[in-house]
This record gives sequence, C-alpha cells and structure tokens, in this order.
Amino acid sequence: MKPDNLERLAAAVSPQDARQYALAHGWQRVSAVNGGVALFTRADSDLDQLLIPLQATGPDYARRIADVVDNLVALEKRPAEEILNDLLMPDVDIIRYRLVGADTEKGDMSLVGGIRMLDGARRSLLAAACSVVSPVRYHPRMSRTEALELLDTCRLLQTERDSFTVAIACPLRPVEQRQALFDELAVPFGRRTTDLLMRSLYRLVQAIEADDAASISDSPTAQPHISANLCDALLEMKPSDRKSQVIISASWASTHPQRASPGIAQKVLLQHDQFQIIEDVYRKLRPSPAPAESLFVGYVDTLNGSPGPDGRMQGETRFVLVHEEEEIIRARSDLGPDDYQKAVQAHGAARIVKFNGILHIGRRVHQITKVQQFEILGPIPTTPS
Amino acid sequence: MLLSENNIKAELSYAYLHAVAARAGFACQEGNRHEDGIGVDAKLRIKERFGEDSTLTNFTVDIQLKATADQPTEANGKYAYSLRLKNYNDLRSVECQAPQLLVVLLLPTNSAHWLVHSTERLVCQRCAYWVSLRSAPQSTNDTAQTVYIPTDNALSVEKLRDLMARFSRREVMQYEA
Repeated sequence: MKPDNLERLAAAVSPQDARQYALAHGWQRVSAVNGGVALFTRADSDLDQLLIPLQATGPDYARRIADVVDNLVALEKRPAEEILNDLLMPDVDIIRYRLVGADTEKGDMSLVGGIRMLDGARRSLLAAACSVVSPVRYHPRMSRTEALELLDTCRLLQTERDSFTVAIACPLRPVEQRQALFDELAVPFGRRTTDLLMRSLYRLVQAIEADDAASISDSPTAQPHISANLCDALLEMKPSDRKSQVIISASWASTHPQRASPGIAQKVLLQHDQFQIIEDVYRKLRPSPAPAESLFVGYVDTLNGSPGPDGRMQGETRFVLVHEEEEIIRARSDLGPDDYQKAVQAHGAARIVKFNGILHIGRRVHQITKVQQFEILGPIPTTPS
Repeated sequence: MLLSENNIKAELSYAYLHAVAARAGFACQEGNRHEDGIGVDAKLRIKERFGEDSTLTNFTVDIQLKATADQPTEANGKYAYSLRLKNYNDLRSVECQAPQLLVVLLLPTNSAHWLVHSTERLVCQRCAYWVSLRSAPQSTNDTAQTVYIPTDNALSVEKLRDLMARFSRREVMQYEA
C-alpha cells in the first residue's frame, strides 16, 4: 500500500479503537508513560512496541497510526489493508474468503467466478446465522428473521489484493432491540454466527482430513452444527483450477476479543480436492427434494372460491401460515366444499386453522396440495340471534 | 536530464541519510513527499534497546531533508539556513508525538564534486547537519525563516546513534537559536 493511501486511511482510525485493538491482540499497556501517547509492549518480545497517540489532533497523527499499522503488518504477517480494516471497524467480525491460485495471482478473477464467490460467502454466513437460531440439517429457505437482519447489516469491504478476496464485515449486534434475546448468553448474535461458521468449517476440514466425513452426516446433532446449506455455500466457491484453494479466515472484533480455544481456527484452508467430499456431505445432509406432508398453522387470508358442480363454494383459498422453523409463508390451496366452509367460518371469526398438506415452493406464492385434517382451532363464537 | 538540479540535491540528501542510517543499523523509509510540502521526506525506524534506561525500543523519527550548494554563513558555531515558512512551522510544533529533525546536506558549490566515484571509494563531499526546531518561536516573516544549525551537529553514524539513544529515553530536544 502506498504511504499516501496508508496515511489517508490511518487518519480515520480513532485512538480508542487503536488501543482497543492492541489490548484485544495481546499487547499490554505500559503505565506511567507521559507525553500524550499510550505505549504497548508484548510479554513475548523485548523490542516490539506500539506507540499510539492518545488524541487524534496531533499534526503527525496519521503518520503515527501508519507506523502502528507497519509494525502490525510485520508482526502479524498480514497485509496493511486487512489490518486497517480491522482498526477502522472495531465492533465487527471480518470474515475473509480468499481464492488463491494461478488464476487470481493479480487480484482479479472471472466475473462469473467472482459473483459465485460473493454469493457463496453470503450464503455461508446466512447458513451459519440460521443454524444459530435453529440447528437443523437443512434450512429449506434460509429466511429466519434474525439471520436476514444480520445479513442486511453486513458490509462488503474493499477487495484486498494478493489473491481474490471477499471480505465481509459482520456486526456483532445487528439489531440492538433484539439483543435482549441473547443477553443471557452474553455473546452477541453476530459473534455467535461467525463463531459457529468458523467452528463448523474447522470441524468439516478436520473430519475430511481424518477421512471421517461420514461422521458429519451420521451425527447431525453433534456440535458444532454443520448444515447442508453451509456445504452448499462452500460448493459455490469451489475453484475451477485444481491447484487453487479457498482460505476462509476471521478477524475478531477488538471490542469483543475471541479467546483461542480448541475446535476453532482463525483460518481454514479448503483444498480443491476436498470439495468433492463436501459435496458428498451436502447430499447426505440435504433431505430428499420430494415434497413431504407437513403440518401448517395460520390464518385464512383471502377466499377466492367459486360454486362447484354441486353448487357449494369451494376452490382457491390463500393462507398466512407458520411453517417449519416458525417461518411465515403465504400459500394457496384449492379446498373442497367442506374445508372451504370451515375456511369461511374461520376467516369470519378470525380463528386459526390447522391442516396437513404438501407444500410446493413457488417463486412468490407457494401452493399446498393434498390438504387433510382441516380444523379450526378454538370454538367459533355463535352469532346472537 | 530526468532530474532537475534541485531534484538531484534532494535525492542526494536522501541517499546520505539512508547510507548513514543503514550503517547505524536503522531503517530509513522514504516519506510521502508532495509537491505542496505536506508530509515528511523520510522516516527513521528504530528497533533496538539502547540501554537499561531506554523507554522506547521501537519508534520512529520524522526527518525533513534539505540540501544546498550555497555556502552557509557561520556565526557563533552555527550555520544559518533559510527554511520555507511551511517547513519551519511544521518542525517547530510541540504537538507532534514523534521527534522531528531538520537535516540539511551541505554540498560543494561545484556540482561536479557532489559525488565523486573511483574504484577505491564513493565520496559524497561535505556533510549533513541536523537540528531540532521543536518549540522554536513563531516567525513574523511571510515566506521563510532563517534557522541556526550547530556546526557540532554533523550527521555521522555515531552522532545518529547517540541521537536515537536520547530519543529512546524520551528526551525532548528544544531548539536553541
């Protein structure tokens, strides 16, 4: 990175965030150092130091933060762009998806490949977020509200060169008002998502390297959870070149340091030949695509029926339903005259209905066929005569 | 020629600093020199424990480089050097966290003698001098201010190491006109 660019970006780093970063990365502040500067040292080094100005107002502030970045580049062996991103965004976890190979040496790649990489990155985070909320083998639609809200607040960072890298900043607390749901767990939702993602990837790679990938599909409830959706997202990133590899790494938010622990790695490397095994795991985890009967509960939304051959009203009825994973869906069904009559009663009394049927996913409105056991929940109030 | 005479002098001043710093064991980085004079010309990066009383073992010193082939006037053991006001004000700041030095390379009047090469030696004639302008008084001039550089402050390897050892103890060097 050119000194001009480094200093321009360094000027935007706040002194507090720089100090927070140092503390979160194992530096200790030396007390009783005067002169408007915080001095940090490391227990494992006699010489390494960071000098971080206490105020951003000094004329050489940008140069001094650039010095800090230079020192961290040498120590952490990471590009300046990465470290600057971490300093500029202290309250986010940054997940990097890096495609390394001959095709990406110059920092570019095919447009189609790049779009697939981005989509795979997005879906891997979404899959992890859905699994935090509901650890199931397969998320049919990955439309959990919390997960989507997290994705909405994620930021795509400027491409970091030396390979093709997709870097996504994932806020720890995507929606403050919902944080109460997770306060008791003391770990914010964003971190639970990135933590699960990195643990799942680590478990996946460890299992593959131990020739034990079957253990993932055989023990789907084992932790950390691995879903078919995560495997599917990884497959989207599969490099075309056999010598290429995908490296997924995490930079943890300095406001919420992540302690090193077994079962999680800061960096996971996926070799080209491992993707075939990931595909096998995906097939075993993903349920048969054949539609299966399931239970639906919800409200009748609209009644669009018409008289049938017997003169009774029947036909198209639209519902707002709660489906698997407490997902809200809109679906329509063609009801017979008896069920249609119940639907009319439920609609008029604003009652909940439940029934079994087979869901067929559509692009906008889904369809439910083979409706059975259609019931109104609770008594229908009688109209005073 | 690709470089103007002023550019050659600037490059020689950087080469001088780089050579002395390298021999002293310090890294010398070219700064982001702009046409408008913003930024510094060079940074010395130090990573060394000079003594038990050193607080800093990994620090930076900013250097403003100048070179002149005009023979400076000398009085009371100091060379007089006219410095652009912008540089003067930057260097006299007490708000800077890192030490700042002005280094002026005095070159022979005859440009043919600036750098002399033989199979025995590469000679950069005359030498550079340093001064800290920290806390220097505000100037009432419009464009330039004369500063006074002690003739004792020749920038040698030994002097540079001594200077960095003092900075490692967080000594603050004030300007003495």
